[in-house]
Amino acid sequence: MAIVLQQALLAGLLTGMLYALIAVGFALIFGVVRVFNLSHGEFIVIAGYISYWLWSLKGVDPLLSIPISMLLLSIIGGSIKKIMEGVKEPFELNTIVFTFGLTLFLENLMLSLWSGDYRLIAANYLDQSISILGVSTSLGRFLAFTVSLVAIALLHCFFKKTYLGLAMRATSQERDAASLMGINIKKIDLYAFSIGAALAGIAGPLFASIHYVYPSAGLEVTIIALVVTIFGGVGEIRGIILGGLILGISEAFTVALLGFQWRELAGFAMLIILLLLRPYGLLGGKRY
Amino acid sequence: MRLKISRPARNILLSTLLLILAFLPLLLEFNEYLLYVINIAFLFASLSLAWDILAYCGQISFGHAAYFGLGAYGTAILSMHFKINPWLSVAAGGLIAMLFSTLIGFTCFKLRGPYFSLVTLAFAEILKVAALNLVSITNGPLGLLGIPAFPEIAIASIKIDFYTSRAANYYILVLTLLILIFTVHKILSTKLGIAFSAIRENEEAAEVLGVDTFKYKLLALMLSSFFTGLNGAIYAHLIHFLEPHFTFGLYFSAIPLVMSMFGGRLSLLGPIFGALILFLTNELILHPLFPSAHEIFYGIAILAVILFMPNGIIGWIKEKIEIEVQ
Repeated sequence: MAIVLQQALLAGLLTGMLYALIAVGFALIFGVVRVFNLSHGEFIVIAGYISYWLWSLKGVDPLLSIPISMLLLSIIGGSIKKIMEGVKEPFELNTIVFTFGLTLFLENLMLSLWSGDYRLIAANYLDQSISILGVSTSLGRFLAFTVSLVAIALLHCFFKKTYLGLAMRATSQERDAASLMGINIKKIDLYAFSIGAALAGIAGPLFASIHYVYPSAGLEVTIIALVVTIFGGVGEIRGIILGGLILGISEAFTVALLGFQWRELAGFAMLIILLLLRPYGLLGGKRY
Repeated sequence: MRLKISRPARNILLSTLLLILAFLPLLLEFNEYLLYVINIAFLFASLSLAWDILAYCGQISFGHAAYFGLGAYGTAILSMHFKINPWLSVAAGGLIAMLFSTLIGFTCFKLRGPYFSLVTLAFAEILKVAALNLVSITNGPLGLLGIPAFPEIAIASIKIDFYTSRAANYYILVLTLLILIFTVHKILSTKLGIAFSAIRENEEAAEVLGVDTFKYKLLALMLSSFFTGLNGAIYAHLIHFLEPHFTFGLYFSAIPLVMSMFGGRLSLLGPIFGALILFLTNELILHPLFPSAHEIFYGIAILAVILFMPNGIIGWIKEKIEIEVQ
């Protein structure tokens, strides 16, 4: 296989795990709270900006900024959830318009605060080229892969081993039954939203280290989250990982074969194919 | 609270309004800036009302910029490359948008509620990426410059020049808005309006009761997209410049939505009212005060509306005051 395609495959696999992480936060919020958080992409871009400014003003390594951005994002997420408690019926419709308005608000807030300039964390060690199985790629991408994988694995343990994780899974399966079992749904919603935002807080710095950060990047990222979640299904982390990897690889091949400007086409093609194959209730279907 | 207006009184009110609209350029002393602001405000009023046709049927579209852009680029390409008269190409622009919307309708209407909204978002993005990359047709990120204005009309010995006169374009926009208002009024007062409402309130129940939901949703989508495309086309001949990021971007998808929901998406007046209030406040008051942050205003407007007045301002007024025309 040509060197270019080998590199594309590797790059796609590595980036794909980051896409999975991006989607996992979105899927968590949708699964538990039943909210399509259209501003999820904005959360990630905000986290990217946090990590960028920490690096650019204080010289903080992007990986070290992850705990800080996690904390800040979970506070932001929790506050937004609190505000959203005032949303009336019909819940699904109104919350999606709400998060859409939030997208508008956050994107223009970022634009007015930090201008539309494209930012990149150009820490030197990120560009360093490393070799995996004889194929070269950038260290930054490999770190993004590793951190994402670790984060998703920890999340999986959280869901399986802790009481809170169990409560969240119960709430996402059957809200009313969970409530009857004594689970405080309101608190679980709040935690789910905050954890989903925190996951965006992890993805943000990773995103910023391999991708330009600018206010309108949010929409792109939200669509990534959307496509991968649709592919994988809400409850299945394995499905989401697979979806992320497939998207990453498709994008990488599209770039290698058609050129950089057609990158987004891969995601859209995936979306349309999924649409045609899974027309009834995209994120429903197979439950645990 | 009840308010009774006699039929003659209502007619006088409407006639006065129409007179004001007819002579507005004169009243504004042909002030170029104010006319520009009014023109764009009416453009957004049309866009909001057009968006609302679909929303009234229960389908919230986040991707109406797709139709706007198709209309705009359609007319631009037809009038620039194929030298077609702009008066015809604007209609063609609307038709192109309408055709594209039938594609979306046939593939996406099996999706319900939020899922449909999400794919409309994706389709707008698809068109944006296509417009950015098909440089030979759209000139890509550099944008399309030099789109002609509407050609001169000569009545008797008076020449109406659309390139230099803002007032002339004003009349085009007002007429388009009035045609749209008339169309929507026709919808709301016939069986069509009832069908739309039924679908909006509960699609499954409507289907069970024998309403052909697909047909009506498609009709709503086609009308909505045609008028959005038509206004997009008029916009192209008004501004003479198009650029993919802006024309297919979030701005033209989000703002009509915000204006329509702010004003009240369940009425005819709502979107128009919302558009005029929001745009005029933004342009005339907020823009000079906060040059870079004023668009945040639209985001805040929609957040506030969803939290406090889900039926918009007109919706809220309708709950409090009942107007009876005798």
